[in-house]
Amino acid sequence: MNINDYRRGMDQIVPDAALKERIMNQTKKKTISARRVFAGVLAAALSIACLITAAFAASPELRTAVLSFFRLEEREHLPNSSVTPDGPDISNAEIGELVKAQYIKMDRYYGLSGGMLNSLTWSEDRKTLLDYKFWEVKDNELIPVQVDMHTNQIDVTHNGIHYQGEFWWFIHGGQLDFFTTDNRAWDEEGEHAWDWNFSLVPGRTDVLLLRLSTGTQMEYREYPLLYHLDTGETEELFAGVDPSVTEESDGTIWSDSFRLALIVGRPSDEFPNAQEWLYDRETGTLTAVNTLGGIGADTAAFADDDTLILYCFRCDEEDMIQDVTFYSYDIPSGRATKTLDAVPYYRSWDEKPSGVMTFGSRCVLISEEGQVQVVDLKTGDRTLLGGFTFRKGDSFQLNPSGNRLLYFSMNSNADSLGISQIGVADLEKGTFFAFDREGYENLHEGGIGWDDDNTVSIRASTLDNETQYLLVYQF
Amino acid sequence: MKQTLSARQLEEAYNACGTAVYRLAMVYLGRRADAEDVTQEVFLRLLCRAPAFADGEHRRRWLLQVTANLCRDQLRGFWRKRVTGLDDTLPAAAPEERTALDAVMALPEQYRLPIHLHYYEGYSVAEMAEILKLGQSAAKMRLKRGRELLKMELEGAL
Repeated sequence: MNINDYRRGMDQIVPDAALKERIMNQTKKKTISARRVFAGVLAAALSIACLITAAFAASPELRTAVLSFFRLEEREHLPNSSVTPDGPDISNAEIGELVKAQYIKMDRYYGLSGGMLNSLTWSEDRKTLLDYKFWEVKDNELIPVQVDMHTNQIDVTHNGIHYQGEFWWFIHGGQLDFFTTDNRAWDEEGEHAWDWNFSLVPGRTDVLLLRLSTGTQMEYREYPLLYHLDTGETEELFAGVDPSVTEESDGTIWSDSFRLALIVGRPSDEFPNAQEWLYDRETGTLTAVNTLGGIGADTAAFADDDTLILYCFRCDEEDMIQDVTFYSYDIPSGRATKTLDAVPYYRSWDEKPSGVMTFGSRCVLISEEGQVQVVDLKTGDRTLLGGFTFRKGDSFQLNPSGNRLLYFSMNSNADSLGISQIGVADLEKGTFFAFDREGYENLHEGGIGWDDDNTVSIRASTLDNETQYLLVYQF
Repeated sequence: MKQTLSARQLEEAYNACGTAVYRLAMVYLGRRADAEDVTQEVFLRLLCRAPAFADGEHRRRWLLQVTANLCRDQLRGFWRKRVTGLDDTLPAAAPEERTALDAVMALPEQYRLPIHLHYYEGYSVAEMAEILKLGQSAAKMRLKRGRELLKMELEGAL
């Protein structure tokens, strides 16, 4: 018996293919939780002759605008130098006079948070922030920024559990940013775990949403408090709510004004009665989501402070979602209007994926032929991405305000994301363009996402892993 | 960077690291059903937290770290006090391979993972220590003690 026997034996231990299906189905929870609020802000005009060619169906409920896809002739030439700089270094490019690209080359891993590049040094046990540096990316330069860093303590007892720890925060340019470390703890027997985390409260720099949690996996439960940064005191948000509702909740989704909350719960062995509730903090009204509009909705998302998008799933015998019907629910009147009926649920791992990708109050609908429409689930308005055919490996992400759709195409033969094409559909301006990327195969790309309404970034490293890159695109 | 993880990114992460996560969970828990549950939870955390990774290796280490934490959490549960060996639903392996798997699985918990991460996944002592949240000297000692207990012809002695 030697180690190679162990290796050969271990090589034969592989997960069932069904496990992948189980895991990929988790994305339904993620996409539903990604509540987006549609803001009515028009972006600055682009100097491109890529216009809406409006086409309207007979029914106003089904009116469809068409965005014509425009593929830029100019290609992006990605950097791949492994020469490691002494600290972060920046270079830039313009692509088709439409996109400003900034390539930040780094000697080691740096973070990007609150619009700034950061370098954090933690103690060995990762309990203490020892040092920090910040840079603003301005006019193709990295400008060092001094921040007024504060340290606060968490010392809260909730339901007999003592939550404690330290965190760091500052305000810069009107934005609050914070840093926490690993706060998870166990009881002496190691049978129960608990944790605490923060979320930002939109429009507020004086408070954070403190999320106290217990349990793991299906028994994970979470209770929110408002944490005041100046005093370190916490404020109850659900003071008048039946404790049996909050005790069974695994998270809360807030409306922009912070007046309304969706108290989310999923049934489990320990919490068989968990369900989703709509709570109005001003009136103290608590309503089960499955009773709203009398349609038996499974879950909901905020479109705005007066409107919910209700999701009704039809599942098969294995509890996998087959199709989704969407309703726009007017909270003041209690009236529900169907905006999309029984559309198949999108699964990226299908051979030829089609169906609906949900983004809170909007969704992307992909036909079996690869035709793509963006649907406003509040109004039912549709926008067709004309001249564009969806292929396996393509994906979309909506920006925080919900008015711009990031498009990227991934090469399935690449070891990493392998983004071969990237672009943006501006749903308000009526433009949709993308450009090809050259040299992506020389980088290991590990993540892509919106940093704000206009900025997309990609994390990457050279194949020898000697040099890290942050690729920032201003659309 | 507050990024979101698309289904495609989750799939890419699972394709790249799913088997390693599952194998580590199997080494720790020994039961297929438990390992599947932990693997699912690990990728749920990736989906929900969507941390920014410097590269694929950074992501892999994060996933294995979360796996080790979740497995430890499960083993500490009262219903998992009695740790059994590999369950009988595994694919049939050659006798010597099965013996080797059983031998590693029979090790106490604190030695099992260092052995697997170092000799199977190929992590250095420093990397393995980072994944298991151990000091390097503790990681080195566990590896040494595990190797002594195994009495196996392990390559790459420290």
